[in-house]
Amino acid sequence: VSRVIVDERKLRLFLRQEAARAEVPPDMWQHIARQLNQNEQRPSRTRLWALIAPAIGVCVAASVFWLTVIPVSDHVSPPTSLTMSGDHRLARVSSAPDLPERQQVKPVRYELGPESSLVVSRVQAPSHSPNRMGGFTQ
Amino acid sequence: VAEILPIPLAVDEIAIIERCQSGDPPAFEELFHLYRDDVYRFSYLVVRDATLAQDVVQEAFLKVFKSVGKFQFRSSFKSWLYRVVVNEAITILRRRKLKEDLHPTPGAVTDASDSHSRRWQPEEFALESEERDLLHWAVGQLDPIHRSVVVLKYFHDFSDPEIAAVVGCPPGTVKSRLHRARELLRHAITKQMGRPDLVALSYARIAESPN
Repeated sequence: VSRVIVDERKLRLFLRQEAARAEVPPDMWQHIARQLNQNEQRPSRTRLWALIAPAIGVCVAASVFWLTVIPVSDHVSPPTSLTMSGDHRLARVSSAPDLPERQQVKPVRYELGPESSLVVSRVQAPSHSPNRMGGFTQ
Repeated sequence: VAEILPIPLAVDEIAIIERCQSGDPPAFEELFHLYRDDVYRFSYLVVRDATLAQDVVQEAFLKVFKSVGKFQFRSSFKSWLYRVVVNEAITILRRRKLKEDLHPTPGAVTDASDSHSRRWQPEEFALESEERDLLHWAVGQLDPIHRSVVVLKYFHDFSDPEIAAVVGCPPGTVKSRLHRARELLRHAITKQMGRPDLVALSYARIAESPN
């Protein structure tokens, strides 16, 4: 049975042998230089973003306000239901027959060809106007 | 508080650092090439992985270049650089350990798991390669802080005040950390051999060696 002689000299030797196996990658400086360039460009991008971000925020807020708060007139109220079936190629369009104005639902039939139909139903606007998101302003 | 190192900076080194502080790009490259080999070998010995060592060196130099303007020549630049490298190595090792804990890789063999599959027999220690394997495993059992101290001491031949400046602690703490590291090495070797009586005698040489 032999004894293990692990002393300071062997520890030094071991560390040097291990370090000798470590070869410095030749492209390491290129990586660092590239990263340095990116870091230099980042502040300018940050400044640009700082200028653009408030303008984008204002646009988004204005859009939300326009969609949810400002009422929509009756003339542009969207159809509330849309169904399509069969061949979607449009063959002939005919408007629905005139209906009494007090009737709330005005179906309009678009004929798309044999065994095809496109029906658009329009609901008459209530007394107070809806907004563009489907809700109603008070 | 770490002692201020009595090591004077070389004139060339001062000039390069001053050029770095004034934002001269070629000076960064010169500074990198001045310390590249030593820093990479140190990182490799601490993190024990070539890819991780490269990451450590790159991140450390990027941090050094970013904050070189704050260096005031009151201590050794080498110690300041190695402090950044040690911190980066510890950070990367912790990050990797956390990642491995969260997403363990099937079949990945670590030093610890390797130890269970390979049991050294006392007869094998006559071979030099077995001694190297044993030391490799034992050093791998040290935590990054103790491993850094051991590498600085036994590979870079830093003095205790120099190590203290690097790791940011008093020289007395360095002595105790070195002592603790040697104890951990002895314990690891003992555990691996399964014969404490054989290791304790031989290892006393390390434990009693002067700092």
